[in-house]
Amino acid sequence: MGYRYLDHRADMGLEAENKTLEGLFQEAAAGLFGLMVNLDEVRARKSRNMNLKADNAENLLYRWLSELVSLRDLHNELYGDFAELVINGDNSELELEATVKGEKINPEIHELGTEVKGITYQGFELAKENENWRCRFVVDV
Amino acid sequence: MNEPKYDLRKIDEYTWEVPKTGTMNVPGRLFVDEETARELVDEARSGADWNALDQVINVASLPGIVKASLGLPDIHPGYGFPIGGVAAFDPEDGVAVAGGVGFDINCGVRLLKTPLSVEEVEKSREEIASSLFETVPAGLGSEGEIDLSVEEINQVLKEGGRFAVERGYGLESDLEFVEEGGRIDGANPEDVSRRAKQRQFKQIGTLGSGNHYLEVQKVDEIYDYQAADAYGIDEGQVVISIHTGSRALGHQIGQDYLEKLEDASEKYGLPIAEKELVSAPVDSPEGRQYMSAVRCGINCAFANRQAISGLTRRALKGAIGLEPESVRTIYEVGHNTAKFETHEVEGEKKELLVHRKGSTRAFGPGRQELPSSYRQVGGPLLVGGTMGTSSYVLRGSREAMQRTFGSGVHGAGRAMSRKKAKSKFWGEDVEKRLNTEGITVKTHSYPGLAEEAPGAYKDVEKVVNAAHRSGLTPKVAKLKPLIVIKG
Repeated sequence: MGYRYLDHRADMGLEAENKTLEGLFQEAAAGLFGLMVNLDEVRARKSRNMNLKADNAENLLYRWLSELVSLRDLHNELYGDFAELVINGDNSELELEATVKGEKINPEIHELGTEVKGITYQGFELAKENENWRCRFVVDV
Repeated sequence: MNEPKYDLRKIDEYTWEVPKTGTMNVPGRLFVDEETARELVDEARSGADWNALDQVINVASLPGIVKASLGLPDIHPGYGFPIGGVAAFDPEDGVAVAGGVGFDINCGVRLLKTPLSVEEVEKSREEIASSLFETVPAGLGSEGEIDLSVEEINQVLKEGGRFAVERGYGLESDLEFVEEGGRIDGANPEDVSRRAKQRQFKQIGTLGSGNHYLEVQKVDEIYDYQAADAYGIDEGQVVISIHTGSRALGHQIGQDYLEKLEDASEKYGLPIAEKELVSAPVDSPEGRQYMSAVRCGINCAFANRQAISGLTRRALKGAIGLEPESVRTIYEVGHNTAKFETHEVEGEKKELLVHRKGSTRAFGPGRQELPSSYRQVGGPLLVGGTMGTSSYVLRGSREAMQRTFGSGVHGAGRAMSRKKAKSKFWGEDVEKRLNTEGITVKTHSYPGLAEEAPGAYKDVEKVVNAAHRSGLTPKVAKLKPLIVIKG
């Protein structure tokens, strides 16, 4: 369970694993923001609601991560709490509803890392293996 | 895998042909030294699922590609399209390729010259560094002082650098020394999503992070006095390099159009070798829309670098009272673009859509697109080094016009992953080491500094020397960093 960073020649690779699809999305999001900030320093002061749809889990994960990157710029915020997240539907029509929590970026209190520009499709994978969901992706920094 | 597609044919010391096999419409051409050619082949033969040689082959397999799929001396794997990759397409039956531009549309370099001597910088090194660091927003979450509405963003996307000049950032004369005069035609803001515009509201005039930087440099060595003279570069002069791009707007366009062009690829039956190599026919509604969006991104990057040029002047005025008018633009070039250009193909002039991904335009003597004072020697290429290493000014050539559609290298490329760099280097140590080399560093992120440690990059000199010896882009000047501002 959890996420880890992978070697990648130019950018940064991530791998996440969880028992549930929701848990996997939460881990992946934490890994994404863990690149940009020390997550322990991000307080849950602002909530943002999200509703996303996709025709399979892989596309839904791509949208989820891309949407988080967009939200960061739209509100100049970082997020560290992804606990409120539900995925409904079956494989051909999935819907994600989430409330992510975080706060305004503040270099005075946040130890900032590198800005992620976007999520790439290079080696993008999502699969269920031995009862666990796993994903891999590369972010463009 | 002993596949014939990897049997490179040596044409000369710095030119290798990738044979036209399988689905390829044209051969590949690599402008690299023997060692790099061998590395590229070894990597492909080892079955690495992400390698630059296969990407050159995949690009060569797209319809309407002209002459060859090209790899420059700094070639390395990118997203769908190799970085250091160039491909030109016939507008009649060719395609516009998302991966051929990428996320950071028109990322590029502006080079400013100052009337300062190195001694003057030494005297006020800390004041200059601090003033630049405080005046030019950099790093994750930094916001620019220009707060724009959607309407104003639309103007940025149409007007490019001119928008920033009209807002008081920089001089009218700057634009003469920017590619396209700082503004490319055919940018319709309606082809850019509202989301992309909203992400950009406060990002004009911000540097960003990652490999973007602002550097105060000294001209350390001149190799080509005639070209240096034309560009107004003198040994010992102090110059400033600004490396950044179209920020969040470009990233969002890149993301939005990956999906749109995936649909278009399926609709028009175009090959999708990698998910980021999606495309649309140039002559289709989707292709025209994508090109319009790319031009919006190009203009956004022009506006961004123009705004930062204005802020840089303000910082120098604040630190040492330097008159803003005394800081002049030498040139500005992008290295992630797709543009319609006229090139000679089989003896005839033809309009082509040239994609340069991690490649700088390198137009040779006589091209009308160049500022008139540079037209005799060819256009400047601004090649970024890394923090501790030198940057270079090269020049375009007739060789480049004939062999690479007037394209050249853009930088060094990474040798070490960011993860490895972070575990190997400490940001604070990197700063100390640079200090001992006479380089002042200001950063918002020490982890970011570790990722960008000079040791994590390939040797820029090797790349530049291959670019020089191949005859494509001869060296003009070497720039050595004095002050580095990182996001």
